[in-house]
Amino acid sequence: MKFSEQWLRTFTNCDLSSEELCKQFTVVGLEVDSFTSMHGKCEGVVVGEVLDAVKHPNADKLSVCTVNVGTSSPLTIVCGAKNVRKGLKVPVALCDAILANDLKIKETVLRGVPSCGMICSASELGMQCDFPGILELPLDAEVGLDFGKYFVLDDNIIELNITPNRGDCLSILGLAREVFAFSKCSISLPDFSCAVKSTDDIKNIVVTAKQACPSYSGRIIRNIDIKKETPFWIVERLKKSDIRPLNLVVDITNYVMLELGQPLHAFDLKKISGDIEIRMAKQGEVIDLLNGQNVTLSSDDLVIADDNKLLALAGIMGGKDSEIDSDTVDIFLESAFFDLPTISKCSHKRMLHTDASHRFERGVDPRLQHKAIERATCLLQEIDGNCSCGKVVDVISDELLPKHKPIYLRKERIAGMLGMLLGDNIVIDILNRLNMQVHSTEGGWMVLPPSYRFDINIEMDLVEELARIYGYEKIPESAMSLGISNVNTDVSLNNRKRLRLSLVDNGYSEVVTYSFIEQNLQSLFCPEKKPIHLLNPISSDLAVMRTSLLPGLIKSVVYNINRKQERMKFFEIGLCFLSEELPEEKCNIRICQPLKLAGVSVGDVYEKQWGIQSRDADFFDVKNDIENFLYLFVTKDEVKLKLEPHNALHPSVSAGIYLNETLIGVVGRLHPKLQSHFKISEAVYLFEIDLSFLNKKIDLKFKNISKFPFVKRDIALIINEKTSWNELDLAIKNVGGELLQSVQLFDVYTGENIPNGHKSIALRLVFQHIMRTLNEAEIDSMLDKIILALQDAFSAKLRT
Amino acid sequence: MSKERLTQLLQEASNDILKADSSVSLDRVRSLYLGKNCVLTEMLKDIHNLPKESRREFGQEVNNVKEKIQSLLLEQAEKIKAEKVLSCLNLEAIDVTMPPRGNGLGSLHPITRIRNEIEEFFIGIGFEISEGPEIEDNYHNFDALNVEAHHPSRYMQDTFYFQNDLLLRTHTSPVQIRTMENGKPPFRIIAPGRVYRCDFDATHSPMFHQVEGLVVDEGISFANLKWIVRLFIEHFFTKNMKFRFRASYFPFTEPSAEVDLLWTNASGQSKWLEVMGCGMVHPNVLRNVGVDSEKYSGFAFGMGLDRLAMLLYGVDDLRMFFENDIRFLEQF
Repeated sequence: MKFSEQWLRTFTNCDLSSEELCKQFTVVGLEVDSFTSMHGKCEGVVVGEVLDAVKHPNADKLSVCTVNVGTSSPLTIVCGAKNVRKGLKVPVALCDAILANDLKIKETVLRGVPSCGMICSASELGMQCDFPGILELPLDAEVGLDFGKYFVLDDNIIELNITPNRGDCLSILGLAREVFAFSKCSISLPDFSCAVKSTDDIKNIVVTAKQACPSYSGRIIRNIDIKKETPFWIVERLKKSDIRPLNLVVDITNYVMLELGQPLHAFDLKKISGDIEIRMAKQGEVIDLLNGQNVTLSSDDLVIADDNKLLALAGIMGGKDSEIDSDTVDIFLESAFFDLPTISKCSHKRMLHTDASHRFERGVDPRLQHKAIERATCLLQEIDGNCSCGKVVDVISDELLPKHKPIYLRKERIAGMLGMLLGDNIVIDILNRLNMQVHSTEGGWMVLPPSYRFDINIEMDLVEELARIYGYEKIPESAMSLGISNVNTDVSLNNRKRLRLSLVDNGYSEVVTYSFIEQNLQSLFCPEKKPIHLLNPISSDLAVMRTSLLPGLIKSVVYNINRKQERMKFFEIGLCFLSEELPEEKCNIRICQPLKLAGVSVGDVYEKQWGIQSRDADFFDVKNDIENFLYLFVTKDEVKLKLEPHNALHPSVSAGIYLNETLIGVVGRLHPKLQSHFKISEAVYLFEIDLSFLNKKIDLKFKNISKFPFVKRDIALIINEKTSWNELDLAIKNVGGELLQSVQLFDVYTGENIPNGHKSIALRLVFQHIMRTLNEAEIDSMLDKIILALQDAFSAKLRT
Repeated sequence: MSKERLTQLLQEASNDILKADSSVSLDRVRSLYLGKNCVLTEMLKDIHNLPKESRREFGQEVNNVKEKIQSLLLEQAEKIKAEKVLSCLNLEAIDVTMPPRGNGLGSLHPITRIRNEIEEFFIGIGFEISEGPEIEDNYHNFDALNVEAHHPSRYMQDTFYFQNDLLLRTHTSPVQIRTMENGKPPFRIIAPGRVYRCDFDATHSPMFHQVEGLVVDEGISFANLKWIVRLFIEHFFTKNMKFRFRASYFPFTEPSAEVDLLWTNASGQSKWLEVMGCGMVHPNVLRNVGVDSEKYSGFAFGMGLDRLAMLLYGVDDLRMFFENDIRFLEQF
């Protein structure tokens, strides 16, 4: 809600400064979004009357005017405006006046005629309205009056962020009520009553959809001069509220909407055939709206219709077929109360947000319709004295209008909720200032809110009003007991923290990427998974929910490579989204949302530095990073990596990560075809792991340390290069049994002296007995057995 | 053969010993003065040429000289050893100011850092951490939170939808509902996580992070809420941070408030900045999860983690959090 501060001040006798007013608005819940000062200049400007205006003898486009400014003799002023004419009341800048842009008025001679002062246009006075020519003041303006007193130019435009519960504050009247509530300044509503001369001329109104339209008022107004200029003060206020002036009738309906909060609509009477009917639309009915849109309606849309056609989408926008235009003479003026959800549903379904729908869906005062239509008629008659008004026809289904029931407000509840005692007189005073009817009763009060407060229905609503107006700042702070609730610490959270630190310590930086990605990217990585589509994505590159974290990581890598980065290690922890049914009804969303970890490593193992010969990072570096964190939570025996194909990974350099024989993740090199797709020059290593294993408490068991010496034996074997280390390692351990403490692979060699297709591996075996010292003979025999087993299983040869 | 000769000998030996600068040259001096055919041995051999009564005394003196030479040798050997160690140490000198070897650490995302800090504070005062799904249903994200179907408040947040009434949660508040559905009061939880809204510009990201807090117990009041907010702000920011409560509206709390901080930027300008929405849990919300609102009351609060991170670290463009520029990430 954007409005002129001066307009609001005409409703209140409030001595708060602008700053104070804004602060108060903000703390009571009507947050000031913007505040703009409009400094109009009007030093030495008075109201004048053009007594005569004749053509300049030496210039076609100038007039020589005789202007009465309330002094003994009238002034002669040369004026260039087309609209200057005898009888006008105008703002006159006297000699030495200072106008907007610091223009100083001096006595001068124009084409031989002396000119003493200037008749001003709106823009010369620093006003918002942009009428061409000089400003025409109402004829009742008092000649000689200082213009600054006649019309306050110094104004501020205040924009308030009105929360959806406070539809009642979407008008100057509503804001004035709020000012009254928080400031105790009295409120002085302008006198809206005027003697509307009405005739019996009526339009028949039939309300079929009573539920959706419990109150409808309408009146015929005839003989309007639609070409009449809207008075500048109305235009000025409309423009300050960002409403574009259109024509006299529309401007007045908008003005009353801003003033009282009741949206009005005017139809061209000659375009209506027969009765006015308020009904639900028929399925498939079409309406051409004022904004040029063509809308096909359904049966839950409320419309205003005549005997033949649709006139308006009720509460939202008028139709083109009944529009006010430059030929309009007679109008039908509507003022209604529509059901809130009906309007809200329709306006959101069709994305039609108008000033009217904005108010109707938040709730317009159901007691305001008749008053608003009278107010608009008054204004119209004031401006255009020739128009004649028909009788207002009110069709009201009183039983369907929203009505408040008295609410029981308990003293004890106020104290309990706010944590403080509010005195009875404070409670009553605040409620009274909010126009609530208050009756004392046992333990509290019965409170009846005013008709325009749609947000007040239960006791807590009243407690909120009390707190808000009393002031949140004045409510004390009080400590609460912080006893232990049901301690049920999620182990996975702690584990996740530890996991993150491990990755960071291994040089990985954490990234956060979007949970939605481009569909093509998604299918490059996981073509076998059908992703979940957003119905309303922001853009096509954020259209589907990720089933994997890998695409996001690759995008981050590409982003950095494009910025000349060469070495990076990233990880992300986040949910992925799969349209699979959950095994158990753990949560009732039928979408699987596993928490995953993924990492990526590109570039050298070491940053470029002295004293270390760097090399490209490879699979085994990443494997080490993975094992470093895995073994924080599970034991070595539980984890196995096996060659496993993955769509995004190099078919020969990718592995499945198995935890107790369950596949929990993958690790490998980005497939060269993807690597070239992303124009990455170096090999990229990736891993992704489902983190549900973190939900388990870490199972640590101490193993006794032998007090007896251990023995190390190194052997070198020549084996087929395709032999899997996993199997070899397992075979050695099977033979070695409990005596074999560890097997370390400390060299791998191919080349000279090694037959083609083979490799030489060097192993260190460590033997130890828990109860005694091993002797040479048993170690030798154990070693022989191991070598024999490897010969049998893998045709391994001892290298000598 | 005389005492003078012995004194002279001792003097010569002492000079030679002090001149020796290595263990080899010292050995040479040793064999010269104490070796098999050294002067002292020769002197002792010639002792029979002395008168009988002086032999004992002379023998004694020769031995004294021998001992003195020995101790000088020992002393010099120590000295040579010490010098050798010292010169070794000097040889091993390095420039300690040179850059270290190896790789540096990675970094936690700034939002994780903020989240950790907030979690630690609340865990410290007895809260639990609670999490929930990011794809939610209408019921948990809206209905149960008293956000009516056709009320404008439903449209306060632009929602991403899927088929079947599913959506991306627009706030972490559904975690409140899930927690209360599955437990009994008292509740003291915070729920951090990702949330989504259909909005994208320099100050809005379609994905961002919130942390939600919920306390439900007997006798919980707005005054308690004010107290805990102060504790938090003083912990998270500084002791004297100025802040204010102002009235606001959320469908799931009543009374509702926004908390603004009086924030002074780098150029010294102060401005009220919204950092937290909060309020007393709406009785309809308690009713929806089967908590008796006459017996229990509670408060809830929510903050944008990204916004806090921007404030705290002085980041002025929200999008930087999701671009993952390594030069940005490495600073945290």
